[in-house]
Amino acid sequence: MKLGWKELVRMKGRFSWMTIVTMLIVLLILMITGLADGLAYDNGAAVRNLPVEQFALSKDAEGQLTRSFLKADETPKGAEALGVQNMVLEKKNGTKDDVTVFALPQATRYGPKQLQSLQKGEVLVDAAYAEQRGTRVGDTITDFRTKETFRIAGTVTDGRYSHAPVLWMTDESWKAWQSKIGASYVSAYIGQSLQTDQAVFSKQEIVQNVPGYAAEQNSFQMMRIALVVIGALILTAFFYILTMQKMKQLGVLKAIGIRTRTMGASLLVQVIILTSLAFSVSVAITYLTSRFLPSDLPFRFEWSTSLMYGGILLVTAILGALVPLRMVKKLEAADAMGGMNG
Amino acid sequence: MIQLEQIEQSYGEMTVLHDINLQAEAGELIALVGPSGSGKSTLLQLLGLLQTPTHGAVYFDGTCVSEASDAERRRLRLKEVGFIFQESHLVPFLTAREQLELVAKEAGRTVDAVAALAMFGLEHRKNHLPHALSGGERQRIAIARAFVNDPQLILADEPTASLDYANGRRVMELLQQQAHNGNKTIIVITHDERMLDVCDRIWRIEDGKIFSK
Repeated sequence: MKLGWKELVRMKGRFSWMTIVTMLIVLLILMITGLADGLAYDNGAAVRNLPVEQFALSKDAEGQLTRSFLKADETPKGAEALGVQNMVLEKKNGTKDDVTVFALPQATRYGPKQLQSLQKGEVLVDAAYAEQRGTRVGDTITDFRTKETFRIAGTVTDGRYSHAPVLWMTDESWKAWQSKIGASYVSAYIGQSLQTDQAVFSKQEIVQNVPGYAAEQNSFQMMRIALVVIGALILTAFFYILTMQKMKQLGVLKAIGIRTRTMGASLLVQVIILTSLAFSVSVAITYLTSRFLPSDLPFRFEWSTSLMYGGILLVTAILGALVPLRMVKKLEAADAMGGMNG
Repeated sequence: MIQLEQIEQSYGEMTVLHDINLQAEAGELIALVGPSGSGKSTLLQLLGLLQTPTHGAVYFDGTCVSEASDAERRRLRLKEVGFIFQESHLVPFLTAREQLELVAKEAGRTVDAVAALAMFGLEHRKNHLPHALSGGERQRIAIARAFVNDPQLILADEPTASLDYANGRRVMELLQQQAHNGNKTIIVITHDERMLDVCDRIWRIEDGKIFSK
């Protein structure tokens, strides 16, 4: 233990570069993780915030809310009918925005409380969207396809679905709007424990089936795993070279009777300290960054995912250290002493 | 103290040592001399339990150790054998005092490292790292390290090779004094004929055979 620490401290020059390189890699991992978590949140926030366990969708919808069509009057007992559909908004100045409409009964137990006080033709919008687009309570917006107009009655925080802002309305407004298109359906029955013949999904499954969610998260996952492996390989290469350089020193220590375990422990301690130090600094930087980033950037610092990737890197780095550890173990005391041959 | 019986050491086809029978007692300083390639280093490795002989037996304090396990030989090396090399081979990031403490701690002993350094006139260097010391001082620390666990046997491979005559002479006299006063067995490989008068006995080795004892 102490041996490894003393070497780290007294050979600072040698280890500091390596700490910086590791730190930069960990920083990259955490930044990507923050972005992935931010986008994941952004993608499914409206669904995630619904306090229900189960979603019943039509069987051919494959878990996608926008592809599911159910009859409103078949809603099982204790469940609420949720309507989800895309809408192209046209504003007074002619600009268009993609939004997703979420509709629930006026007397909803699961949706935003403000729904209960909405009049027909009134909607709630995502607060961040309203701020960005300068939309205010009282403004009217128009559905580009049906020319149906809605009045904004309030805002809802974290109301996003598939990276688009969510427009909340009551089932009454939903029916009126649907009849303009010539349709009459809802997308899902939501509740805690559903008695229905339809396909039932958990909330997590619904979030993962949000269009683009899996593709997006999988790409980030690939990047993070690649970075973890690269980080661990660099650390392995570094400790491999370091051990190579110390072969003579280690051979002498073996000759005078120092246990392999003592030398191995010192190497492991160094790997752990170096990785942990790099991780701590990176976490601090990422955390501070997340505090100062503008709110419209989908970046979220989450302790759970950050610590998980730190843990994965540490484990991978320790596995990588098995390579130099094996060298130490196989090293013959007699061979390492050039002066004693001949 | 240590005894070699009918030792033969071969590497493949090549036989390095033939029928070696030697015995060293406590309190003796023995010089091992011979041309390079004569097998003296191999002999020292056998004495230091770093190798096991192809044939024959090594007795340490009356116990046969040539058949002992790696772990057992390592333990004996740590506690009963002190090594001194051509170069000091100190751990570059440990102070003089820590060099000694490392070896003592590994053997489960607590020693007064500063007092041990003082025996070799190095107490004022106790907190220095090797790079801040002269070659002679480094070698004396290496010697102090070899003695720190109070071993019965000390093996030195040309300990004066990297030193000038005065410093080398000082090291040899130090070893003689340790052998006689500390009742230790000390075996030294040397090329320097001027150092032989300090030694009690001389083993001459040539082509893997001992010529005089």
